[in-house]
Amino acid sequence: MKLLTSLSRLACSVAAAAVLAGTAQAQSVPYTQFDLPNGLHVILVEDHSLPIVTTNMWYHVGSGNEKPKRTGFAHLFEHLMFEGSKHVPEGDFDNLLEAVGGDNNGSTTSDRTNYYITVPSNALDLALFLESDRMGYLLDTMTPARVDGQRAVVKNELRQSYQNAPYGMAEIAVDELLYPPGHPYHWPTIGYMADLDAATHKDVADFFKKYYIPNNASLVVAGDIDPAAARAAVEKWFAGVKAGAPVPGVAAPQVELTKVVKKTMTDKVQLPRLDIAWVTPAHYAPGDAELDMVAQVLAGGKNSRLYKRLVYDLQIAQDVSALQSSGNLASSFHIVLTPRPGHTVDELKKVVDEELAALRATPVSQRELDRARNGLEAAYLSSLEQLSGFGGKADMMNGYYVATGNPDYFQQDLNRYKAIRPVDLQATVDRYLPSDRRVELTVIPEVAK
Amino acid sequence: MRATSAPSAKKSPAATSSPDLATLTLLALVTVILLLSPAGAQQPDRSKPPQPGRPPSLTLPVVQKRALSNGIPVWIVERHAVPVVSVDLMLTTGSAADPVGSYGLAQMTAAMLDEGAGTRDSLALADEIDYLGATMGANTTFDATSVSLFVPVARLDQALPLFADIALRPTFPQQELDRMKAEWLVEFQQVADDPTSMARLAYPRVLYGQEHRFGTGLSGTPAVVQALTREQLAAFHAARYRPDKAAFFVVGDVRADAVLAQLETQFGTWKAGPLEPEPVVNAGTQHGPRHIYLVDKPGAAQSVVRIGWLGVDRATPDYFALEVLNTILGGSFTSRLNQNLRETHGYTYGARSGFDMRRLAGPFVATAAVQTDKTAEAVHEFFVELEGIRKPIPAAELDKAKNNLAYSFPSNFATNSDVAGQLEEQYLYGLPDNYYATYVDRVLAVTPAEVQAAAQKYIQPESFAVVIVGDLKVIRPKLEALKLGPITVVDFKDVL
Repeated sequence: MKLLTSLSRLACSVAAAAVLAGTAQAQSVPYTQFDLPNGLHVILVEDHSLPIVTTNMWYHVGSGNEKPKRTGFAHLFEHLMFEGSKHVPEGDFDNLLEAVGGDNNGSTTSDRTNYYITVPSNALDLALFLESDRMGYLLDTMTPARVDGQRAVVKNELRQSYQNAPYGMAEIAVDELLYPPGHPYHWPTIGYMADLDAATHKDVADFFKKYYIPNNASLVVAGDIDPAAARAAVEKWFAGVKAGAPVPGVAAPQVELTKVVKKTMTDKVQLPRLDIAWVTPAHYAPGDAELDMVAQVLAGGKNSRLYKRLVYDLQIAQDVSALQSSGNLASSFHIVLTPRPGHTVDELKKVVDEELAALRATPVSQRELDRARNGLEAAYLSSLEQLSGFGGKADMMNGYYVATGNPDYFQQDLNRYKAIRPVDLQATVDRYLPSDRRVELTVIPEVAK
Repeated sequence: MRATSAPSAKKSPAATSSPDLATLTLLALVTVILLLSPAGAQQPDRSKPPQPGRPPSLTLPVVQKRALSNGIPVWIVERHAVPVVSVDLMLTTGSAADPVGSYGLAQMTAAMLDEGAGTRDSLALADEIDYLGATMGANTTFDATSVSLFVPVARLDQALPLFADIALRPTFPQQELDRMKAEWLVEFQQVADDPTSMARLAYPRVLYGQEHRFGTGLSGTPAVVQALTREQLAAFHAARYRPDKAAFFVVGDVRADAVLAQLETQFGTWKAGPLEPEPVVNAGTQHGPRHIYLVDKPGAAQSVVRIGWLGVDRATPDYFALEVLNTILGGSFTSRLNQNLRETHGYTYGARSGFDMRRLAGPFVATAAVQTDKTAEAVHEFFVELEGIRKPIPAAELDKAKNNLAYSFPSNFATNSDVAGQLEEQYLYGLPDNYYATYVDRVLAVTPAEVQAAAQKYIQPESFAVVIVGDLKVIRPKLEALKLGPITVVDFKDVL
């Protein structure tokens, strides 16, 4: 991301994680959509609650499209998208937007790269001018010096968000263990330090021509708009951008762990940490919503199974979290635990295995299921309050469109959770969270010199 | 779902050198489409950026100001877009009311509210709250305490009695306090894992010292937390959670009359006990002359830099000038600090500055996490910008900052909690009723002279404290060579 925010797949799927409807009112957001002749898909959403408008552009390219030895490129490229284009001098992308009270950012995951610009509704034309100019004319002014400038910034993002952050490097290591070398999720979105040095100006040009084309993108324009005028404005600014060759989807083999894969690494921390991880069904695939619920049952709230036993009752863990991190090609499920001083990761692991065994043996109670579901639902409703920005309604609709073809997938998304019964969670844990096929990554404190 | 492909508008006749008959037919077709399509075909004028029209005006949320029968103000904003509601109970005393020797008491009291209340124990409360899909919690700042509830509006009726229990009838069970203390003590240890957290504690300690309340984090110190008793918490709650220091802020999918009645049922009989005087916090002693304070973090990939001194209180008449000033210095992406340290030099992922305005002056800080081998160079650039901001600011830069602040104003009202936050700031600091209605005009009215006067007064780099958490064996020699001032190495244990 451009500013001080996280870019991991994990962080992103939290915002995207969805939930059930316990309230009677169906969730729906009216929209219109159309395709430009060049293939850009456009979704318009009229919402006059504030006098602002947001443009939300997804390019269907992420770090999963990279090749080994060229990792981090999709994200480095995201940074370059803010450095000016043929009709926008360097620095003016932000200068022009700030001068009208606008805000903007971008983020990269394994699966996609997204950008938003939020402006007062009088400046929609400016936002579309800027967004279209970098789609159509980025390379005209992309000098090697600009690439080097952002390369240095991205290296500091890697230092700040991973190397200098407690347990930060473990986030990278766990994906390396879950996915085999060559798999698109094996390497981190931020990239490896050595690979960031390797990116050439030619790489920038090739990447742009291949992926940053209107027929590999979708645009949501949402907010204080007149849809007919907004459509005309989108056509005006984007119709002239040339289509490119169709982009083939990312292919990846089905990943199956066949044993327990263990690794121990050190970090500059006080306490050890254990990350138990599995490869699980992709976003929206059967099992994905169930695993969101399993995460809640295990570690959502004081009465959740692992929190209650490890943190509340036994007090042998400082914290525990569980997360289904959903991706296009596959997801990963994580249980992350920090032992209290004087206790070990093995003590915690034993309890985790007992609780997983219990979930496999007996269905959860209806109360437990409802508690998990209601919590997820409330978090989902809360996310609907925000129109712009990452995880806001416009961003969600772009994601829904990309995943399902339907930007107004809100109620269907909620319905995934509504249908889940206690026996479904039992079957889910049994099938997807086996104790003999998973990753166990342990971080231990560096010994002081 | 995608539309069938049409001829690309870029296939202009001029691009075709020797058209055959088929091409001519196609060209004719394209021409027709060009004529019929109002905007789709012609290249727009990109020679200059489109000028925005008149800025739209924000219709401010309608605040319905009511009160309970015992006098507690209730400010309500009805917003019906999403079926949720936020209810905040704000007390206008916070961690600044911690008694000397018990820094952290207010925050621990707040943290313990939902660990047993009314007739329910900790787990039973959590079970009920989670079952409703509600979120309840309490937190303090130096100036205020907020007990907050978020819930799907269909379950507000069930949530409010629990909310009243945790706000009014916490039981502070010994075993839960023991558990919480053990958890916090480990969290204190873990601060040493994170250079950013270390710097956040070291910086105010350097500025305000150990005695002043602002010199210690909201959660206090391990020694104090270790010693807290449930009797202290109960006494603090009785003394400081009182209806004559309380106000409600309700924003969401509710009807004012209905929610007022619900609050009356739960909170209308709340009575105040005798008022105990609050500890008096003094304004603190301004820092100076310039001094470097280093905290060692061996092997750190970056150094966390925090530079500044005591800033200004929220009531300052210089508020709008300072907002504009800070936007230019380090409050926006195109600010001088971010442009210099990130975009020009690539030393950091981001640099920024800000004034923490409280009832009394909180810190002013300019900060970034910079790569270890460029720490001294980065600190030098910080001071280039801190000196530079004191000079007259070019008109275009000033206008950009004013417009940015003024015209981004509507985004401050996006979510229920955004709206509640604005109302709470207005209430807590006694801002006038027309504060938000006049905000844009007041920003736009700031003059170059006011900004420069504010810079001269509040940015005096020769008096600043420079706190750096990093790998001292690598960064110290070059920092010494900068000759910015005396250097003191601070043991992190003395900061906690």
